[in-house]
Amino acid sequence: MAVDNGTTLGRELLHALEAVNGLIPKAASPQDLNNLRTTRARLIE
Amino acid sequence: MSACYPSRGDCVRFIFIACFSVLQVGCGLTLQQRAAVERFSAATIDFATLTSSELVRSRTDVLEMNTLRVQLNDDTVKLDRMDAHFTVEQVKVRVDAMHALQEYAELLHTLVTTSQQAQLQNAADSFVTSLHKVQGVSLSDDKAGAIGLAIQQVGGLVVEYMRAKAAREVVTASHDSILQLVDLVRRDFDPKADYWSLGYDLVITALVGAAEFAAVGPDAAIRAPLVGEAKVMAAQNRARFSTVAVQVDGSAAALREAQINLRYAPQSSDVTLEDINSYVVQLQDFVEIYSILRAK
Repeated sequence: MAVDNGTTLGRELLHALEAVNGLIPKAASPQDLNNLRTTRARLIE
Repeated sequence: MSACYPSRGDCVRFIFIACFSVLQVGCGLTLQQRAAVERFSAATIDFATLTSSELVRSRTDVLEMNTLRVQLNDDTVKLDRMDAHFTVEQVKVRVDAMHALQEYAELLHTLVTTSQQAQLQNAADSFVTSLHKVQGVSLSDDKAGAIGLAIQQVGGLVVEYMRAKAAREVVTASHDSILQLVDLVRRDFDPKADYWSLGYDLVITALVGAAEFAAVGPDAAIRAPLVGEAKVMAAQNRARFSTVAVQVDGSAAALREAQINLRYAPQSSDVTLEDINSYVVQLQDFVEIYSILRAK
């Protein structure tokens, strides 16, 4: 299934997951890490 | 005197046999056509074998990566689905498709190298049976019947003529199914599509995420070796899979062109073998690269 920019939905999900990975080392607080953990879990599910 | 000179009947018989022999050779496959079929067949067996191996081994990679995620305390891994989307059923569907492609190549090889009816019939039956097992690929009863009939007719006095005829009919009757098979493989290894390669990329990316979390967690020092292992595994798998995917896609594209070429090769003795030769060269590269990448 393709989204508006021609990328598939699955590939959009993959890019979002990669973006979360990039933010993990930069997290400033345990709360930020928890938020990233939750976002990642939702993306993977 | 009559023992020295052939009778009129003998002459007629001789002329008939001579004409028949010329006709038989003239209507058979030329050396070039035979070479085309044999090269195509050998390259296709390699393609099916390597692609099948990669499908099985990429599932093993997924199991290893998910095991490492569990060791890194990644609670998003489902313990009852360690193979994620790479289930045995999903792998089998694809391996069946590659098996059918291999049987097609074996049948063509058998057709140009033997006229033993039992061997030909076995090869034809194996191909038709294996193709019927493949999901998403169709072979109508008419076409399956045409293959069977062509094979049954190889043999007898006009063996070379019937061999050429059978080769033409097998390639023509199988053509659409073979192109469907090729398209299914290309879809799986397309780096922009949502099939096999996406599933593999998702597991790699999840492993990297698990390593990143472990690297900033409270027991980061203890987990450092596992984090390192995970990052190396992710990088290696990503690099290898993308290289193999390029090879599979390139080979499948070349196979497509070669199959189209092959469809016309047995029809005309003037046909050039450019596409089939390009395919063979592409497969040689694939074989070499794969043996380097998957060497243990």
